[in-house]
Amino acid sequence: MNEEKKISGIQFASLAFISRIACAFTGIPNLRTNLPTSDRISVFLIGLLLSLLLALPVLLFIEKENNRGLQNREKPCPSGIGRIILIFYAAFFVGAGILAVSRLGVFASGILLQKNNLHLFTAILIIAGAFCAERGLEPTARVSVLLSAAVLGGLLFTGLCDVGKMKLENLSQPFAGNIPIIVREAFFEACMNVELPVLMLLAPQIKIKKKTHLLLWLPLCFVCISAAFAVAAAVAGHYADLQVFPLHSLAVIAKTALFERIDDLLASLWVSCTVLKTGILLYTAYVAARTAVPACKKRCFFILTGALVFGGYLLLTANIQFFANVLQSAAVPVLFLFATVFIPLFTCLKNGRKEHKEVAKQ
Amino acid sequence: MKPENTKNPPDRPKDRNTDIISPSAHTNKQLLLQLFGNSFDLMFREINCGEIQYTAAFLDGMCDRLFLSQSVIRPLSQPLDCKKEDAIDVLYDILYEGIERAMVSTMSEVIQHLIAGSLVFFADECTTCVCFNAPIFARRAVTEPTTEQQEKGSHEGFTDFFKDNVTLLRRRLRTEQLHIEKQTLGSLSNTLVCICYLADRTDEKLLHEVRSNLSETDLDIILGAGSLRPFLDSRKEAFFSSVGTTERPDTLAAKLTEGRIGIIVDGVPFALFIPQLLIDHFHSPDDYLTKPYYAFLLRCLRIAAFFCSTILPGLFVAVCTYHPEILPTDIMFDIAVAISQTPFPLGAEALIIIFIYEIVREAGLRMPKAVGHAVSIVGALVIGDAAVTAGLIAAPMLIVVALTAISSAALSGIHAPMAALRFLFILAGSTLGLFGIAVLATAVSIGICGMQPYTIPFSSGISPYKRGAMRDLLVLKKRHKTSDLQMKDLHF
Repeated sequence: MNEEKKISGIQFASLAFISRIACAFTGIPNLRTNLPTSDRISVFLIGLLLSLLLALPVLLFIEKENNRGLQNREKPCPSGIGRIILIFYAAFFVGAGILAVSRLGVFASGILLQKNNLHLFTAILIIAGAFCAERGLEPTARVSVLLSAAVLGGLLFTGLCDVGKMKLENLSQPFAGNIPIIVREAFFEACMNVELPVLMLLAPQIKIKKKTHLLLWLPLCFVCISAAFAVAAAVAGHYADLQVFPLHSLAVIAKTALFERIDDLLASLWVSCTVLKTGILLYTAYVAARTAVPACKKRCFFILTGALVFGGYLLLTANIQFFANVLQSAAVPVLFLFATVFIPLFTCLKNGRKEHKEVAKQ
Repeated sequence: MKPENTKNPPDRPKDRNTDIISPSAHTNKQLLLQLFGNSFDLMFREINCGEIQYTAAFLDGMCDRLFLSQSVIRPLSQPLDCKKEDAIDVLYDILYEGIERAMVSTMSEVIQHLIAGSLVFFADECTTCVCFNAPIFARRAVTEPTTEQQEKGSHEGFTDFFKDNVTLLRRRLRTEQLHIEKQTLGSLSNTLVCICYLADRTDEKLLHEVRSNLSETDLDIILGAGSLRPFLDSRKEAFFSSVGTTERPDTLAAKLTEGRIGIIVDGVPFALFIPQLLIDHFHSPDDYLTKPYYAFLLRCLRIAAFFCSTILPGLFVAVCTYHPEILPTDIMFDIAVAISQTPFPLGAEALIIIFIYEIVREAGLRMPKAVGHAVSIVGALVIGDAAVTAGLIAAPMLIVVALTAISSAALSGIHAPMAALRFLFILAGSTLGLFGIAVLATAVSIGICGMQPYTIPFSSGISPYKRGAMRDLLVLKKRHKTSDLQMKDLHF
């Protein structure tokens, strides 16, 4: 990719929106706890606030580093701790890619592809993701704008199809469930925002006019996902609580004159979202790896990481209980906090002291 | 016109001793005979003008003998009063009325002029010679374009002779800003290639890149515009080409007005224009001659035809094989009954019919016109009637393929990528259903958005969003100017 080409803040926001939507719509909300569907709205509201809080170190880092990004600070060739940090980020994004693909794999095995070869589908999806990454940030961001419009349109259409079946009495009061559980779920939801560390590394390739544009996707995701859960709860009531994928069941219920069911059409959009998510994660991993190891070849890297993602997916989804354990483990939020909070703050602090010393010397 | 490329083609005499013109006309004659291998059509005439003797050389059939004998030979019937060493200069000066001439001093230039249809005069004690250009060859008249029909616009199309094409273009752009650069490409064919552009509208970088790409052509022979396309295409492995072709001078003029560059190749009734964008395929010159609402409708139809032609068979296979629940129950039952009576899986059936359709189309294009109709009839009978009656192919599949074929005819300019993508989408739909189609569609979209021929996004107008570029995408402005879309504004 030509390094000179920058994407706009809106394009990044749509990319992050797509990435987050892919995660939310293919996830299993009741994996950790069995919350009522309407309580999910409270989870997402608190999750939004937590996400905004977690975004502060990243914004601080971008502000302090003058949009240079972590990798550019370490150029031309990092040594010691800088290289370790960059390699950690590369591994972190590949790991996030494995989780994203595995989440879709589990969703597909239960819902989408009962008649097809799931592994073939996943392999093709990863190849498409690697292709996106190879083409670079700019085309991926442009497609994400179009796809965001399609996803929003699709959700709106589904909501309109279901509007006649909604019963408001199905919705329970907010925070009706156990509040500590809701807060814990919200924390786990906030720790799914892998787009925050992505932003930290891709900041030099984004035209940042207003920093608030960079976080537009967070409230947009909150509105979309909460609205989808609210409609699902209002339409299906307790039936939605029993579903592994309640948002998918919302689409199953929807019916129009032309289409008897629109769930598969909507799920196709989520598949496209996952392709873009995989692409952007692999691309960001490459950005980090390229700085840590300048000899890193672009095509070789994507072939290698693509194979790694596929291997990781096979390992994770071989046993659904193992997959559930991984998602519930504390390692996921710890690694996330390390990448989103600890490293940016540590880098800002270290650089601040360095600059302070230089000023003192002068 | 700007001076033409003076690169020496490889078959020219490069040795300094053989490249210079000898002061002996006889030696020059022998050298030419040797270089042309005693070709029968290389002819010489001796003309005596008093004390001065000229030797004229020409290729028989390449130059207008009648014109030359009247305008060149006849005035030389009277003796000339000059020194022998000034013989060529005098000849150059006395004959000037309506004759294109050039003074040359190397044998390679002499060969070039002879091949171009010139009459070359040598004289003893002169180390230069004069060439009178009067080429003659069979030339096709200006006719209606065959591939880009227009209902209400001009009925003139490009011809095979590049000068006629340049004239057709000049008649539409009567401005000194229209610059036309001539180059000779192809070491054996020495094909004349013209780069046309509007100097005040074309980006200098784009022009420089096109010139440099053309200079990299190391072909022996250029028989068509297609030979140059690989050198001008920005991404060779991409499905879509960034080099457009047109048979219409008015279309090329409109493209030049937008800051693009045109390339006219001698011997081809098509011009190339660079860069070509995705939206170009959905526009037609007729759009500007109709009401804006109708133009909008036509453009929407063309975009729908693109999706029909590319995705529809794959989508049909995917829905009927893996997601029949999407369809309303009555339609689903009708299709299921029809499909159940055929022996092949739906994906294989689609591939077979599309494959046969492509063969019939190819045969229809290449066969003589008289036989072409027969091919169409046989194709229609075999595929349309017999295959369905025999129960080999389901009628709904035939309807889908027919719709696909008609849609692809609406956008003949991008038949190649559409045909290739159609096969891929059928494969994706038949193996992974709608999700395979979603993955492939995402990858294709990324591929299209990733194409940036000459730093201009191929999908400009659709993505990225730019106000200037959006003006003429679907809706015509009330007072439309073709210059609204400017390549300069689309650069990254």
